[in-house]
Amino acid sequence: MSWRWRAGWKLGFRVFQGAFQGRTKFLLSSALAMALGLMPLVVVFSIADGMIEGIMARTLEVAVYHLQVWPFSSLTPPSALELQNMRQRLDASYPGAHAWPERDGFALAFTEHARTGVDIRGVDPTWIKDPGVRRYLTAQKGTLNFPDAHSIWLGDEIAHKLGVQPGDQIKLLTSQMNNGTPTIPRITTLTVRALVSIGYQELDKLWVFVPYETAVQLLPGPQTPTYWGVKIPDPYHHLDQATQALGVAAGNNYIVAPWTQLAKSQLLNYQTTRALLALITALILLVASVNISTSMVTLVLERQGEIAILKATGTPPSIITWQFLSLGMLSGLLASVAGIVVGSALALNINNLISGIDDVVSFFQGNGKSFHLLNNNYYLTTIPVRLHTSVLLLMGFGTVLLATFAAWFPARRASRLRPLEVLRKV
Amino acid sequence: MSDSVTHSPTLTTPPLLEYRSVDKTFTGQSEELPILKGLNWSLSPQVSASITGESGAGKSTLLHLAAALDRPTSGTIFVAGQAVSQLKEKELSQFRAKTVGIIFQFHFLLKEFSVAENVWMPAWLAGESKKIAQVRARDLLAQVGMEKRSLDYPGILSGGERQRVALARALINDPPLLLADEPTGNLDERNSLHVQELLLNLVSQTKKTLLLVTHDHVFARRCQQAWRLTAGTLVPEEKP
Repeated sequence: MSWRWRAGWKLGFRVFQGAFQGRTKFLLSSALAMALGLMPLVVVFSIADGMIEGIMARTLEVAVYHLQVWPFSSLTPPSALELQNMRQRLDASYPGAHAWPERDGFALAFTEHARTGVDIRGVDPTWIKDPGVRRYLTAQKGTLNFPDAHSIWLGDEIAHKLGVQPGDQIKLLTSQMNNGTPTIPRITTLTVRALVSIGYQELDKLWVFVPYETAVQLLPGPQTPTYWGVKIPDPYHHLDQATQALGVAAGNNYIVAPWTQLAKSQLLNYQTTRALLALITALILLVASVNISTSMVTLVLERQGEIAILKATGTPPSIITWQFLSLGMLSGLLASVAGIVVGSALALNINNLISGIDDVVSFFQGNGKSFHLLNNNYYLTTIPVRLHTSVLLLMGFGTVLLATFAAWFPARRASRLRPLEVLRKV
Repeated sequence: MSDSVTHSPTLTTPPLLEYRSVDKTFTGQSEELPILKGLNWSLSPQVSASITGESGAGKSTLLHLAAALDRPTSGTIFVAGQAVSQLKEKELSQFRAKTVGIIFQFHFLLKEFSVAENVWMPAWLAGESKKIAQVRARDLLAQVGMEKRSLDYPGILSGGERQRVALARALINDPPLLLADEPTGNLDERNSLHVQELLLNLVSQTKKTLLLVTHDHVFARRCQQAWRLTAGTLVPEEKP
């Protein structure tokens, strides 16, 4: 079998070489069509993972923590001593664990000219020192500290909406809802210390940060209990062990939830979107592989005379089969290389490309408004790109396999060609 | 069915090629067209024979049957003792590679391969070692006067040169039987004479058996035997 494969390969390789010398150009066209089909697949896989990782990492480090410890019931906020004891227990429960108390709720933020609903996050002042937080939460303006209890950091988008800068004052309208008593509105004036961003604009237009103690004042009711956010050195492994250890440390009145539960729907949503995108682009590739098949059929028709003479001079049909399979394989290989190289280049420059498209369209719109291809509200400010060599190799291998498979039918047809039928026509 | 019995005159050794009660009928849409009718004919080893006849008489069919490119409607064809009409697909490749060499009116050289490669390739594809095939190809190309063009590609050769390469290719596997179907049909007179000369000399030197199908009566008469296919059977061509 091996020499027949080599012989078939040699025959196929020469025909393929001929395509670069102006003969059987349609072979190159079909390989190009397949490369064009592969490019979006490469881009999707390169940016989808990065986007999911980017959004999830931000979510983990700045929003949901690695684990959360919630009380089953909490009528009153814990005292300073209770907080200190709990922090010590949780920190000691798992190697490298750090716990911070947090108290969240809703408020209406307003100035004289504007107002907007916000999500208050009452965070421990030491929370900002966590490396994960510092990596993703950045001060666009001002400094990330709370010099006094009336300090507030605003999400970039909120600050833009309210038209405030660091040093300005805003008011927060909160409500205290006690069981059986009327809702009591409360207005608190706070000084803006920083405009912050986590690079994910959907959250930047939602969050304001206040010191934990201030949040206790603003949100005293049982509807907004204090919970604990915990971070561990490796949130992607040994999460079960950490969950168990924290559960023991927290005691029976608390429940521990890992990030895989807290952000499960979000993660599944992204993964499903990626899978759908991959499926659609894979379908494009599949359709493109039909071109290979069509080219091979054309080639078989064009080369009938040569196939006939090869068979008439005793070439075994298997060599003819290998010849056309190798042509499919080579076309697939060319498509793989071109698709992966260009697709990777596109992926690596995706941010520049989108920005360029935005600029060009904005210029031609001529109305002074800036055009955004992607809605910034739902995307990262920059798309992270992750090129995984193993995934690229797998896609390349899949493309070669697909092209070879596409060549199978024409190859069989060529090998079964009866020489006499061709020779009679000449 | 006519019972035509014709034999080559020198039957001192077993025939290399033998048609035994061979019928060949082509079936059209409305009628059947008998081409060969109970043909009994044989050709001894190392003898050259030509077959002439009108267009459509079945000359090429006769040749195709010998090359196992076609099967008879009935009867048996023996080549070197093998009943070729009963060979299976896998055995056919081996038979075509080792027992017969074929030259067609059109050369059918592989355009992506050099002259030398076109010649040694069939031997290699038949399982011969590449080195041996290349040495043999070099010798054959020298014999047909194409050794200096061995690295050229078919696209830049003249019709006569291409046919000389096709002749070398037909002989690369050293087959005992050479089948030539109008090998000069596409050539001008000068090239035609050159190819005729080469073919007959090579057949004589290498002691091959030649079955030539041609319209060219002069060429036909240069073979040791000249036959005419008429009414589905072979009759000796009368010498002028």
